[in-house]
Amino acid sequence: MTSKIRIVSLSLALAAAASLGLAGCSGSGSGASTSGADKTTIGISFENGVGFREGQKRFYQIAAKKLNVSLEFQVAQNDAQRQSSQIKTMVSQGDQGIIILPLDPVAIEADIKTLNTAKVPVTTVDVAPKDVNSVKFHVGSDPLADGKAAAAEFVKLADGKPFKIVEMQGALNSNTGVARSKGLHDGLTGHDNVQIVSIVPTDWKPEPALTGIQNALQTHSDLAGIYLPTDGQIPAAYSALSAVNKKVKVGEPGHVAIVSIDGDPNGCQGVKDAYVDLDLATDVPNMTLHSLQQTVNLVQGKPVSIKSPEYLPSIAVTPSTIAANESKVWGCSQGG
Amino acid sequence: MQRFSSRLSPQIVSVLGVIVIVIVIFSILSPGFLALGNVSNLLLQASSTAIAASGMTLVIMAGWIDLSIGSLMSLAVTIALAAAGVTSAAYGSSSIWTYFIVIGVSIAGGALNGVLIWALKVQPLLVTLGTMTIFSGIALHITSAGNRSASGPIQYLGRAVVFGIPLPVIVAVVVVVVIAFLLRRTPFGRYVTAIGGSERSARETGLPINRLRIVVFAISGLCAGIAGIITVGQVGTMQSTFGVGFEFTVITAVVVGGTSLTGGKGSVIGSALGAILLTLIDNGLNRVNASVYIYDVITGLVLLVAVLTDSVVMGRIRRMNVRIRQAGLERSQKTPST
Repeated sequence: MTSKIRIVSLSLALAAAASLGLAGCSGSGSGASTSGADKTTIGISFENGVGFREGQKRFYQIAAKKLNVSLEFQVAQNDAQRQSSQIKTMVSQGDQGIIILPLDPVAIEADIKTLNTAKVPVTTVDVAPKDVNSVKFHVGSDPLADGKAAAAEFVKLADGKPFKIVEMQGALNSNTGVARSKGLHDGLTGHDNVQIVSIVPTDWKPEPALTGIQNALQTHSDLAGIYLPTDGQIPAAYSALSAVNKKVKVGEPGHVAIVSIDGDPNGCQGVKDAYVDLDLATDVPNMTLHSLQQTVNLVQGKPVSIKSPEYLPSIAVTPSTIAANESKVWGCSQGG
Repeated sequence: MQRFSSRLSPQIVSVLGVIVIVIVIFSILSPGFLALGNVSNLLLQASSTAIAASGMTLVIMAGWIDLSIGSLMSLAVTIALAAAGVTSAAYGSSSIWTYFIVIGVSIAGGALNGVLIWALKVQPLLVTLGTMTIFSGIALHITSAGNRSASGPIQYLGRAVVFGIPLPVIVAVVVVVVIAFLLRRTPFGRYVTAIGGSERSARETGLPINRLRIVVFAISGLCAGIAGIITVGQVGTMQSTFGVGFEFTVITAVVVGGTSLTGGKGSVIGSALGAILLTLIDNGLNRVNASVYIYDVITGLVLLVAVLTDSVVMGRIRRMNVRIRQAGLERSQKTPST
């Protein structure tokens, strides 16, 4: 019996030590803070931790250095309840302003109301709350415009001829995913020569994208284009194309057009290597800087200096324009 | 024919029946569904799930469950890529050692589940729920939720083609055959089935349950690791969401394949067929350009039909067996004793 207790105690002690060790050496995990004494501290609540969010986080840290403020990050890992409680925790810890990337645009309204009542400055980023006027400042991209820009590229490439494309759908529970899809469909209205032969639900993951593209290439040997709602799926597209010897550069015979969104390291490299026809890079540097700048203004009792809501247009880069625009694409900077 | 049917368990017959129905429907809706290229595609896409389902079949046959396989495969690949110096989505490459590290971490993680269940005397469901969170948490910590490039040698297993057959399909067949052999033809398999039938009786008969549990969970981890290598190799990248929900796909394949969640009854080949059925549905829906909103509904309906078919077939077999036994009893009562 004593040995069992010893084993259990040892296991628990090891688990606790490991947790503390991880937390101790964590500089970027959930709840990590870039703190400094007497500095304004802004809490940032992300809805999930994926590669794109890590890119945003890196640019928030750059902006924080520029504005001389401290940041405290919390990641809700796709749990709206957790996001709500993390926001309350940040306020109770004394964060002077809160930036929210809402997981649920409707549910977050209750938290915004609570923060407004408590006179804690709150702004939103990337995903707008249902009533965007409930916050003094919102900055985001325009996913509908991104989808339309992708459609315009396919229409241009088709040049009036029959053109079959496969669409990867971001996520059905994501406003960005739905809007990027709607934009594509809206943009293709009236261009009957461009046909979407299959729409594949991917939940932003590359694995379903791989099988979806494999299936489309199998069913339609004349597939001419692939629409990716996120650059994270570019390697999956390459893999599917390589398997049927169709990974061919832009302008070469047999090329299957790829249009993608985000501007992450995959997208930047894909355009540089001329396998991706068009990448619509989200303006992450300005999005994060404006978001933090305006939140700090509110904390300091100043009015916001940019009209809200602000929707930043994406930076469109192609193999022929990437060299001139590389510095504007966030994923082209070292390490993404 | 009788010999052939006697070799196929009723569970396999019922899942095969559903597969045939699904194939017929999609062949009508999408000509070319059974073209060689698409069949090869289907088997390739089903291979990872079939491999992980083989390991999971052992676990479920013994009356246990392993919820940690998705997180474990994510952790194993994450550690292996980090060891190879992969630091982002665009920088670094795997090495030949990546395979050994994935396999090592997967076996160790699986065995750890077995040890924790034994040491803490807690249900496998709760222990693997805990390790699922721990494994994915460590993986997230290592990558800071960033994407990782999976270029270099790690792609070989997922992308190679041998004599026109994708290598993952060959690996899946080997894994399914080996584990089916282990389960049906070795004392180890009989012990696993006995534990699933009644763990208490198995303990009373002196079976080394704790050691067997560690081995079973280690095999489950190993299968998850192989599935992880294949998937990452095929995709060419690893996101922080890698492996999320994979355990449920695998458990679904196992259950649809006729393995009882209460243990003691099941088949590795049935689980592989379950994996093929799940892939068939996705592949077919892709081909007919189904609405993105209908995928889950159709998948759920087909799975319900598969489970119902299994239940109806098993019910009929049970009733038939009862009738045969009664007839035998009546015959023996009528026969005068000599």
